[in-house]
Amino acid sequence: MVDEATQRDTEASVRVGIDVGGTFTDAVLVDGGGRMWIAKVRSRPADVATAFVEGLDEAAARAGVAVGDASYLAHGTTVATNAIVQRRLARVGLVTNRGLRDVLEIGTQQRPRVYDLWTPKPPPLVARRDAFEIGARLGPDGNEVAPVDPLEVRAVAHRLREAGVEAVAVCLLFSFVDPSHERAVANLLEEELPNMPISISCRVAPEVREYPRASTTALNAALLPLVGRYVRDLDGRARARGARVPIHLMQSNGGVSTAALTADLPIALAASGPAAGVIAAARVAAELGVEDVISFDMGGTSTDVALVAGGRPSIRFQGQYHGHVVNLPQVDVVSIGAGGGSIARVDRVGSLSVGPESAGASPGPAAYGLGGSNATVTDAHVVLGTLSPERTLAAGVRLDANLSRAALARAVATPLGISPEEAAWAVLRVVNASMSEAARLVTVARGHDPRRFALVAFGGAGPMHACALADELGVRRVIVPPFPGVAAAHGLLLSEVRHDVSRSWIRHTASVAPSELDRVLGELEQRARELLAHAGQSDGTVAFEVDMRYRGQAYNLTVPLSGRPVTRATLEALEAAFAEVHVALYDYTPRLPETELVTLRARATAPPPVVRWEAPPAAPGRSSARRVWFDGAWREVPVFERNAMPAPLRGPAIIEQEDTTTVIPAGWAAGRRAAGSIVLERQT
Amino acid sequence: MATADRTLEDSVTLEILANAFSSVAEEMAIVEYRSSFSPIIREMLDFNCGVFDAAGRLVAASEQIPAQLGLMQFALQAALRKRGRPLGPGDAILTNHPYLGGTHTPDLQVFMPAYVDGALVGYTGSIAHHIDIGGRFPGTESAQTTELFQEGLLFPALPLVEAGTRNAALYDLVAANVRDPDATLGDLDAQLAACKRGGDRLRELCARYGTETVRRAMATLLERTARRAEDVFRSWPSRTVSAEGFLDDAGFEGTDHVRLHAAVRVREGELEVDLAGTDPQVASGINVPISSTHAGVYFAVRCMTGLPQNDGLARRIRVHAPEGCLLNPRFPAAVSARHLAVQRLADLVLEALGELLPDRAVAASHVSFPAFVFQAVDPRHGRVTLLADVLGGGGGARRDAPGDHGIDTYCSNCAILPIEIAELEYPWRIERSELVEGSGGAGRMPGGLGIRRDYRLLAERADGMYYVEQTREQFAAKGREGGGPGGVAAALLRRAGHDYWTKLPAKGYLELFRDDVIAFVSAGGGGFGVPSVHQVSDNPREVG
Repeated sequence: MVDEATQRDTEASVRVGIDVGGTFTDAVLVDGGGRMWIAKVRSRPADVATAFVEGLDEAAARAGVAVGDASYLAHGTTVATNAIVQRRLARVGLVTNRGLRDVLEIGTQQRPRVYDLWTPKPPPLVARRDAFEIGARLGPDGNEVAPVDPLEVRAVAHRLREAGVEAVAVCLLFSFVDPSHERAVANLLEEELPNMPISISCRVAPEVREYPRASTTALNAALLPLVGRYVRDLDGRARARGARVPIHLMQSNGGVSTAALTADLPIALAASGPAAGVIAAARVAAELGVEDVISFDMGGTSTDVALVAGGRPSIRFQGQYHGHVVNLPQVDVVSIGAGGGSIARVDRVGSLSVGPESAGASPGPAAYGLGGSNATVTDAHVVLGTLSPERTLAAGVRLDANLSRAALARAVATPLGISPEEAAWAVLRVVNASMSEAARLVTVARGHDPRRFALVAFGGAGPMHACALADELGVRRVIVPPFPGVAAAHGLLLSEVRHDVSRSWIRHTASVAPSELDRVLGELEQRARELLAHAGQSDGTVAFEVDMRYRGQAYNLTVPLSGRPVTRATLEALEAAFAEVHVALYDYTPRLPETELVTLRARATAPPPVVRWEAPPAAPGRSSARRVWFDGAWREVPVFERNAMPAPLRGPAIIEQEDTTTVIPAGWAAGRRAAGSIVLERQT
Repeated sequence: MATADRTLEDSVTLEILANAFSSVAEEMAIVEYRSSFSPIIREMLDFNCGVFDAAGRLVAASEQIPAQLGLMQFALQAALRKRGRPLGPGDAILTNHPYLGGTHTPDLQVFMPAYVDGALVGYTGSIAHHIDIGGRFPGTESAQTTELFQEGLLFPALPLVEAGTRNAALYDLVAANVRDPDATLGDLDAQLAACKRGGDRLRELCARYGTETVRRAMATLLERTARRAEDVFRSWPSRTVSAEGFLDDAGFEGTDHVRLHAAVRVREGELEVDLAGTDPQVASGINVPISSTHAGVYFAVRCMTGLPQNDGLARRIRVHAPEGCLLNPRFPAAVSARHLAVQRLADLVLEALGELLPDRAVAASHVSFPAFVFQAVDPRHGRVTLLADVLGGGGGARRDAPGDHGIDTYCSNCAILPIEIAELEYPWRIERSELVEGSGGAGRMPGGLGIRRDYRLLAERADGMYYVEQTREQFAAKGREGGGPGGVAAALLRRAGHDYWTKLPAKGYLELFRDDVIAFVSAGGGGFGVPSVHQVSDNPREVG
């Protein structure tokens, strides 16, 4: 008979994270012995669940374990994101107050591109004919202006059925103050329309401003059928492979939740993709005792930059997906169109630009030899020798240095009258500068000095640019995680279970009774804990935050609230914290510093089980050398396989591994640290 | 090789710094709108920020409201001329004078110099529409002023901060003369914070790249934009095209319509916009100071060229407006509601450029621009409140797509006031906020629909100014290539206890009482292409 304790121990430690990206599906498995296994399979845009299962099988096979051994399965998915981008959305009916049926079409009435007269606005989530009005109405204090008329709502239900909608969104004015009207309407609709997916705004995003709330709710409704099906399908397929644990999905807020829960709030998955990488950056740094980092993920077509302060990714509370506003917490990622495939050009007056156009994966950079003739950032690296033409990239692509050189000569060197090396160097400087502008947006523009942060570099191209970007920002430390090419899948294993709940509660701080605030926070806490419990976490911690502003302002700043029970001192601390953040951001305090509370937030988290992972032992120093162009001249530079690098290693030097190349310029030195990360430090 | 090195360095550094100048302006804008107090800035984003060289030439601008596009340099240069010397370290000036490069009085402009080691690098500036700057009417702005002196406080480039010390007397003067001093002074703080942030960033760039390089990059950027503009204009046909447009009236009920005319042609790499043929200035607030006239033209040119707005582009555009006409009035003509004519001007310059470049032609968008400010005491707390809102309307149809519904058009891009914000902060209830069916011009591609919004007063009494343009059929948004015109705009009133709507004059001052409902209807956009028979018959145009 198998020792039960041992069995549990093994089970408890086999964890699998699977990230489905646009081109590849990455799986990371950590087995009971703390060994990490990686599998990469091709994504299947038309059949995401199959790629998931293939990744799972492949990782299990490589590790020599059965799928059933997995004690934890986490999944990052772009299924919601892609549905929005490709508009594969359910037909949604909207129920709202009399006179408001065009709330989604009118939106803010602003044009996204002010000087573009030609591109139409994206069509609204709900067609005009599918929007229905009811006479019920609440005022701003929750006072009833007109009651819910059940007969009228049943008649609307009938018309919704006639219209053939596939899901329903309910958004009524001031439901964040008093949800009773929305709930009454939803109950009546459920009676009349059994099995119809229904989303109500007081559950999805109970925050002030009717348009973003309606937009968030309608988009959630539009995703309910598709994501519900996907989640059920995934679960079934994983079970068929022997999986015995529920799948956890990565949400936009950087936490995971069970598939069953996210099936009710699919909109929370919309920014799942970039979030996992940021979590990986935060955790990898935390293992080294570093809590403040800039997460820098540079891929083929774009670069995602995000801030991690005090070990926590920065969160923003509003986002835009394909022109649709969504009010839900999401990791505050700034994305710019600069990556390995970004195209360099010189215009007629001699100005050099790089991106945002990208050569993509096909035909890709000129170096790929797949017919691309544009000079890209990758070509610049090939010309300068930082990327070795001897290496084979993913999917068997080989690099051709002659093609890169010809492309750079044609596009940049000849028009500017300089050599191809100088042209390549110029391209890198321009792209580094535009990435530094993105990094400034998440640091300086948010009141943080980038110089006190470390940079965590990943994505296929991140470690090639990291030190140069760090120099642009005055950052003195760069961390390269063990597997920069699969950071998102890795991050899935490191994410906490997280649920956010919020409610707008607009009050002058001075007139708030602590006991009343405590009661409302208590309700939020209870709801947040219920969600954690549904996700299988019986204990966890709940933290509170409050969106605040000075009276008369519209934009809030979010500050932490110390905890319950709320006392007068809690409120004073809140005001002090707000004043401090305001000064840090805007350099001043208004003449009449009277503050208001706007939205109360509760965040329930349960920490992820510790993943023990051991770095492979360093191999004896196998190294080579090649000519690499740095700062105006060719130099003979040592090149090491990652496992064989000596520590410390002073730049200039190159470190190569299967999924990326790390560039160490002069003035930087690399050392290996715990958990297999490389830490690069500025020497001068 | 020396030349090549220089070329390389210039190309790389210039690209880096050109991007950096734009992000300095955008970062200033973030500081400003997030910390502003007036809903017109914070909710509607009626402001802009800019970076200028040491001579006061615009280098880069944030992109909120095109109506303020490229015109801050007129105010800054006028201020520098008036002073006769640059601003000193720690100085800031406040200006809003429409005849010293300003727009209308509520647009307060603040400028600060950026010094590095005693050397002037350039200036940063902010322009923002304040909710009220005193004067005869709540909210200051009105089409029914008859001379500039009724339009609130005038600041002819006055010191706001001197060597780091605030001009307390000026602050006191402002506080004593405006209806919502907390908002106005708070917004001035936000403007100063934005300018300061911009200055800090310019100094950082100088520390990194060298002051001389930053200065040279500014000059080169402007020169290259000018060369690009020249290239674009030389590629256009050289014939003269023209268009005319009308305002419904001269600002008062019963007055005649007012004509605007533009003739546009390319000559020797420059775009000439001749506004001769525009009617003389009028005795109301719809005249346009010359800086705003430029902004209307710049908007149309930017749409058609995609070039960035800076002094380099401005160098290749010649605007001729005869002195004393509506678009270049003589002091002290009233200019408070100049935006209506600016929108019309942008419309007709685009119409003319569409003739020149038929591939890019679109049908006209609405320029009705219903807007108001009403003052009322909120019974919930006894304080005076100023409710302002602006309605978008129908966008013009394109060759291959219909017009957008309910958008703020051309030189404006204000957000509509959220209903929940309106009801939380003001004693009003918005009972209807919907698209106006049938208001889009007929066409193979139909025009976009206008918006109707109904506001019920919940306080004892309110008063204020409102205006709306395009209330006459003959001046509706024009179709293109056989497309029909958009529907017209209106202001409507239903008094408490009555069940009928009265059509109000297009512009006016109004007193309202509890449970009165005032409604604004914006115009629709023009259609593109000949409509099918079905569409012609299906074009109800009623309002109310």
